[in-house]
Amino acid sequence: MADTLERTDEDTDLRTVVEPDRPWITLVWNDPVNEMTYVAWVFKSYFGFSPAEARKRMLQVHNDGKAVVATGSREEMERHVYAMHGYGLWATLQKDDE
Amino acid sequence: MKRVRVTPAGINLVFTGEEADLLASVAEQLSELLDGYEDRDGDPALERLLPDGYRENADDAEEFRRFTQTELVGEKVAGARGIADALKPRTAKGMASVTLGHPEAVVWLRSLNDIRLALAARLGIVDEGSPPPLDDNGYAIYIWLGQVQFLLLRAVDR
Repeated sequence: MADTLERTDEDTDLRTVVEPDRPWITLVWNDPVNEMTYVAWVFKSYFGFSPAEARKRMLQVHNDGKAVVATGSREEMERHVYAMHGYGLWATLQKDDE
Repeated sequence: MKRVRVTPAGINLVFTGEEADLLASVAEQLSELLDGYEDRDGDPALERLLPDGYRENADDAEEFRRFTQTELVGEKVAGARGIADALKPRTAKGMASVTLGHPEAVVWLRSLNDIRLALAARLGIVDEGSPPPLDDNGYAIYIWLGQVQFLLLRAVDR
């Protein structure tokens, strides 16, 4: 990326268009301690989800073992993961597989 | 817990003296545990309180830890100490009566959750299929903390 930005060769202008980076995602994983009502409340109060959306993602964590709760840049996802750890939720970030 | 009430001044929690001593004690234990986070050495409670931010890349996980952990631990320790301090004053009847504004109530919810996470790790509650803990007393405290958290959450989220 840095290399691409430093190029000054006019000829390469059109060919150096960088494919957009795959986005990063924040995942929350199931654990046996956090109560369902608490997890839904964290999603609602921190991410601003509606009560129905918060409940849907909480149930996804509970039933599927994990749920994606945010998508975006790596820096943003690191901030979300940090915030989730503050609430005691088990969260990680990774590049989107899809 | 004797009572949870929403008042104009905030959420009022009333604990018996015995309950207040218990909660203050586990909150202090949490802050002591977190104070030793640098020598975690595979401690399951610290692993759960301060998990990896990256699952598949140990270098990224290490770097994330390096940049965030001190601050995260600081927040968690401050929350736990806040609970222990708030429970010290007692009423004439020996109760502890604590009134929390919204931001403080949120800190309490997070910290109660941290205490439950640490206790669960000690009791061997690691997944949905974990057998019932052998430590009846520890398990009773764990269940009680869940009830306190539930009642406080209901008052916060109304």
